[in-house]
Order: sequence, then structure tokens, then C-alpha cells
Amino acid sequence: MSIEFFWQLPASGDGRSLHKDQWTRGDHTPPITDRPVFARIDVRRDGGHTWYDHLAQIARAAEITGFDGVLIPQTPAGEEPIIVSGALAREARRLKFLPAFPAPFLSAVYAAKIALSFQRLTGGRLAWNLITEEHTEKSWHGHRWSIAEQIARTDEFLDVVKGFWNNPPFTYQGKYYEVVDGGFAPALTGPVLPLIYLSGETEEALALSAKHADVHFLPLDSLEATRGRIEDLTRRAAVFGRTLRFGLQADVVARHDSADAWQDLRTRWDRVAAKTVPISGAPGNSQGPSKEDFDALIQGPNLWAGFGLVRPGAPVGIVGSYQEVAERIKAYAEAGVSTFALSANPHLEEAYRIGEQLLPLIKSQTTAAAGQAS
Amino acid sequence: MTQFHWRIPIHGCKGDIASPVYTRGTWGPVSAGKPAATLTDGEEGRFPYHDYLLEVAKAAEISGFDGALIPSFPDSEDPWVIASAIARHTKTLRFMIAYQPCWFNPLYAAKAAASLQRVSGGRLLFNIITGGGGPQQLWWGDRIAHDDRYTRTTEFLDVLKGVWNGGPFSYQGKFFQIEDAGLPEPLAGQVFPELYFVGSSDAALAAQGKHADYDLTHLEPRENLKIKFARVAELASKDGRTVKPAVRFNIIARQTPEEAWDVVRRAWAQVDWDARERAQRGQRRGDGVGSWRTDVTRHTKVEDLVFEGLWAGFGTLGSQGSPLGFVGSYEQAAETIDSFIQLGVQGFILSSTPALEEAFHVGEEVLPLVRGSTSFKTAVR
Repeated sequence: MSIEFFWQLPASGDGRSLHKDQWTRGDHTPPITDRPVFARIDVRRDGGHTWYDHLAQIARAAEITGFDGVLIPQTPAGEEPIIVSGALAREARRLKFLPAFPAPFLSAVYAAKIALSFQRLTGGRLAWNLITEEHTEKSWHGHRWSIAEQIARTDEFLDVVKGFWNNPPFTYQGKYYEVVDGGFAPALTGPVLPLIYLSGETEEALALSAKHADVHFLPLDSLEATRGRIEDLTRRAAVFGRTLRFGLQADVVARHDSADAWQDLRTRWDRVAAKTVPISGAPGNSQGPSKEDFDALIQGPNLWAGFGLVRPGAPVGIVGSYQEVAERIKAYAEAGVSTFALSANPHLEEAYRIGEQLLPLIKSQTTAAAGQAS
Repeated sequence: MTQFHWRIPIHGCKGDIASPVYTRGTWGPVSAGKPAATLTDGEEGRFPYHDYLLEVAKAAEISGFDGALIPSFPDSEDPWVIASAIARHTKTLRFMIAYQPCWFNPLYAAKAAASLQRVSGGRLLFNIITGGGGPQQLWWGDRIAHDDRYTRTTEFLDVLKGVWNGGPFSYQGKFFQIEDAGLPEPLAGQVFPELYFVGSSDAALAAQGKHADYDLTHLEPRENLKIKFARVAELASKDGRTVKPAVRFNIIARQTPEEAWDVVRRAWAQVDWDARERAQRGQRRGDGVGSWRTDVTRHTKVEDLVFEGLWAGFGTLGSQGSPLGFVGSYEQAAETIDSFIQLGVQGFILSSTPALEEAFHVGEEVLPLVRGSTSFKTAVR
């Protein structure tokens, strides 16, 4: 099984700090007064970089250093991932684009049309990460759909997209979507449907993945728990006669020495903790993280769960030497994970670090492992 | 300031207007001698059709157009994909996305549009199309009746504007219900895209009175235009607003009238009348109103279709839009555009075939004459 690596594009800002409120690249953070902010959208100097120039730079870095694609996460204040994909498509030659978006907010037919055009534009380099998220009173979009309803809408969305794309003339009457005699004209047929990347732990989410996903993103957890989830989902997909692949999203703090990696993370954590900025979503800790929390957030060898407290994205990350991190990833690969969407701040420099130091190590080890297995 | 936009041929293009099929892009049959732009596999070192579309956009920018219309058809490339690429590959060109409100939830549209404003420095416009109804609308997965579709358009734009600057904005409409919504910083507060509206019915004009900046009309005889402009003005004034007239038409301009008419005559001689009659019989009809057409048969001659200094044969040549357009010299073209400015037109969407080469004929030769004219300089701003 070949392994694919995505780098995550920081669609809602970037910087050296662990904490999003301290990021100095892009204009997504509250005003920072003690230092200049780099690559703002609203400051267009002659020949100067804006935020999209920097995103393009990171995408190029990911391509140069050997990643297969970029995952563009959906965040409330971030750039819209489909627009980012379209803007950067002709600036990368081989890179796959994996924009994350909430399917219920789009017409299924129109989303298919966008995807078709994108596939023609890029030679089939688009994949979809369809997401659901908890809608709260604070959700910027003003919708209050339950996760279950979002999944039901996504299910119909995918029914329509797949039927429209693959089986014209396609007619469908669902609760949320309908179409009559749909399908693209012969001149436009040929490109493949984007691969569908889903995630979620609820019963409805697992059922949706079994029916529709090509790849299911799992939470980063122990190997044993990961194996259990893979077995469960594999069984569920088999009911539909389908085979799923599995993915993980993770922050990576990797250095030559394990001690350096942990020290670097601890130092950055201490700086965050010293700022006493309030962190949303930190359980039982409305005052933000304290220095003492660091050790409590270690969740086993090379796993640290503090990332989700200080920035949008996956909560858990992998920390250690290049060798250790490569071994962890190899272990997940042996458990059945074949997609790794990695990220680290700042994303440009870290793309080079991870792409140059870590990926070759993983690739050589997993290739060797695959050779032994066969 | 009067705006000039060039139309991006999103459904394929011909290298020669006389060609019966598209020779740029993959829409026509594959044949020997097709240029590299027909390749769509996106492989390294090769050129998908999008690269040609970006070339057209750059031609429009270089030759002096203010912007480019990116239309949308069921069987065409998608304007959002093209627009986001144009945003990165041009510097000053504005781009107008043809958009139906049923395609995105307004909150998603707001976020995508704000992102486009950020990537482009505020160069986005919308051409709001409410949709023609009938089988084509069902193809899109949309089953809303004609007048209700305009209600939805109004609601869509209510919400788009409501959340644009950050909110909190709540809305209880027939089609959209939201609570305390608003674009987050730093997406909030970008320049709001100017809105071109299409539609002729009372429901359409009532909807655009509230939100439209421009009323876009396919070119019609001047008396028809005057009536339409007056209705638009009257309905918009009920909302205390001004909606500026805009027209869209095809144009073939050359140094001399003879050269321009030679282009048309040569193309006319290539018209496949049998295929044309077959196509007319099979046309899907929507429930939009206001379509204006001149009957053209195999017995019609080029000069039969000339009136008011315009020519009504563009549809027969396979061009999209109104059959009525302009053929003549650069000076005549400038005078014609000037006459529309005097009628009150403040937005022009011009198109021609081939889109790349003709952009220079119009942008380089005609627009400077127009922009030097008295009416242009004194037009309502």
C-alpha cells in the first residue's frame, strides 16, 4: 500500500508561536502591536508579499520537498479552501489539492461542476475533505444544524454528485437535494470524481464513511485504538462492497534529537502560558493553559494533546526525533493508515524540515517494511 | 465611470469565427491542426484550456478593459475556478462571476467571495442570474417557480450584504433563516462586489431595484432599450436607488468597414444551415421573458440583417448572447458605443471570436477612441 503525505496550508494565519493569537504572518490574528505582521492582505507594497503569495510559497515548498498534496483546512476566519485551491492550482505542477468544506452549504450539482472544471484544469489533482462541525450560538454562519443533520445532507450531496458524474441522465429526489435528468455533456466527461475524504466518530459519521468515503480520517490515538477503528470501519464498508483507506492529521514537532523536540515544544508552550490569553475549548481551564499542564497533555510515547487548545485543527500531535516520529508513522502505516496530513508552524520552514528530514526516513522504512511483508 | 468588460469564452473558442466548430478547447470534434490549447490533461509542460482562458484575461487586461465577464453554462468551465486563477495571474483586471443564488448557501458564498476579494485586492463583481426555469433549472437541481426564484435572489443578497461586514445579522426569510451570523475578521469588510443583474420580468426588475448596481441587457433595438431603461429607473427609484444600464453585445471591428464586413461575409458563407435548423428544433425552452430574436433563414443575406448601424446575424454565426451586435470600423464602433453612452449605458460587456485576438482590436483601437469622447467624459459617474 503506497502512502501519501499532505502538508497543511495555514489558511488562517501562521507564525512561530504555538498560539494562534500570537501569529505574525497573515492578518488573521487580533492586532499585534509589539512587532510587524508579515504578508498582510491589506498592505500591498510594490513587489511585496500578501497572504496569498505566502500560501503559494508554502504550496511550492510542499511540492519541492516531496509532499503529494496540500490539505487546506476549513476555519471560521480562514481563507475559503476552494478559492485557495483554484488560486494556487496553476502554480504547482503535481501537487494534489484537498480543500475542506461543509458540503451542506453547496449545491451538489454546482459543487460537481466546480470539481469537474478543477479536474480539467489540473489533470485530476482535486480531492474533497467534506467536514461537519458543531454548530453553536457563536458559529459565524448563523446556522444551527445538528451533526446528524449535516451528515444526512452530506449523504444526499454525495449521492447526487456521484450519480450526476457517473450515471447520466441522473434523477434524484431526496429530502435536501433533487435533480432531474442531470449529467455532464459528453465533451466534459472523462475526468475522475475527486476522492472523498471524510471523518467523524459518531454512528452516523461512520455509516456515511462506509457508504461514501474513499479515505476516512481517524483521530490520532493509540495504535490499539487505531487498529480497532480500522477493523470496525473496514467491516462497515464491506457491507457496501467497498474498501476504505485511512488517514491521520497531525502536528509534528520533529528535531534531530528527541530532547531538542520536547524542549522546543516546552519552551514555546511556556511562552504561550505566560501570555495568559484565554483559550477557547480548554476543558476546565477558562484562564488558558498553565505551565503545569504540559506534562498532563502527554498522551503516550511521542503524542502530545496540547495543540488543539491553542490553534484550530487536530488536537493531538507527534513529538520526537526524526527517527522516533518516522517509527510512529511507520507503526500507524502498518496498522493500516495510508494518508498522513502533517502540519507544523511556521509552515514554510517546517515544510522544508519535514519534507527533507522526515519524509525520506519514513519512505525508506515503509518501503523496507512493505518489502519484508510481501 | 463607464465600465468595459471583455467576455471570457468559457465554453470553448474558435480560432476563426468562420469555423463551424470550436477549435480551441475540447468542445468540438478532435481534428488535425488543433492548437495546443485543446489539451486538457494538465500534465507538466502541456496546456489545458484554462491556460488559454488566462491568456484571454491577460489580453483584456493589457489591451485596456476594466474587467472580464466569466459566464456560466451547464456545459462550460466553472467561473469560480477560472476567477480564482485569474485573480492570481492578472494584476488589475476585474472579473465578473456569473452566479445563480441556488448554487451556494449565502454564507458560503460570502466566505468564498471575501476570499476572492482578499486574493485579488477587491476585483470581484457578480453577474447575478436568477435562472431560466424549465428543464435546465431542474438539471441544476433547482425546482423553484419563476417569481419565487426572484424572491430567493433578493433574500440571498439580503443575507450576503447582511453578513458581509461582520454582523451579527439574523434573518427569517422564506428561503434562508440564520441567527447571529457574520463574516469573521479578517474576511469581513472587504469591498462588496458590484452586482450586474439580468432579467426583464416585473419580478426580476423588482428584485434588482433593491440590490443591483447595473441592469444588464442583451443588445436590442434602441427603442426597446429605452423602454427597458425607463422601467429599470422607475422601479429602482421606488427603492430610492439608482440602477445603471449595461448592455452586452458581440463586436467585430477593423481599420476599415470593408475589412470588418469581409470577416462576416466569409463566416456567413460557412454557416451549416441544415445543422442550424436541426439545432433550433431541439432547443430547450425556459420560462424567462424578454428574449428578442430576428428570424434568419438560409435565404437571408448578410446585408438583410443591418439596421440602426448594427447587425443581427451573430447568433447565426454561433455566437452566444444577442444576435444583434456591431460590425464596422474602429471609428464606427466608437461612435456606436458613444451613442449607447448617450442613451445612459454605463457598463459594456463586449465579446467576439477569437476572444484573444479580438480583445486587442477592441481594447487597443476602439476603447481609446471611446474614452476620448465627450460623452464618455461627461457621463454620469
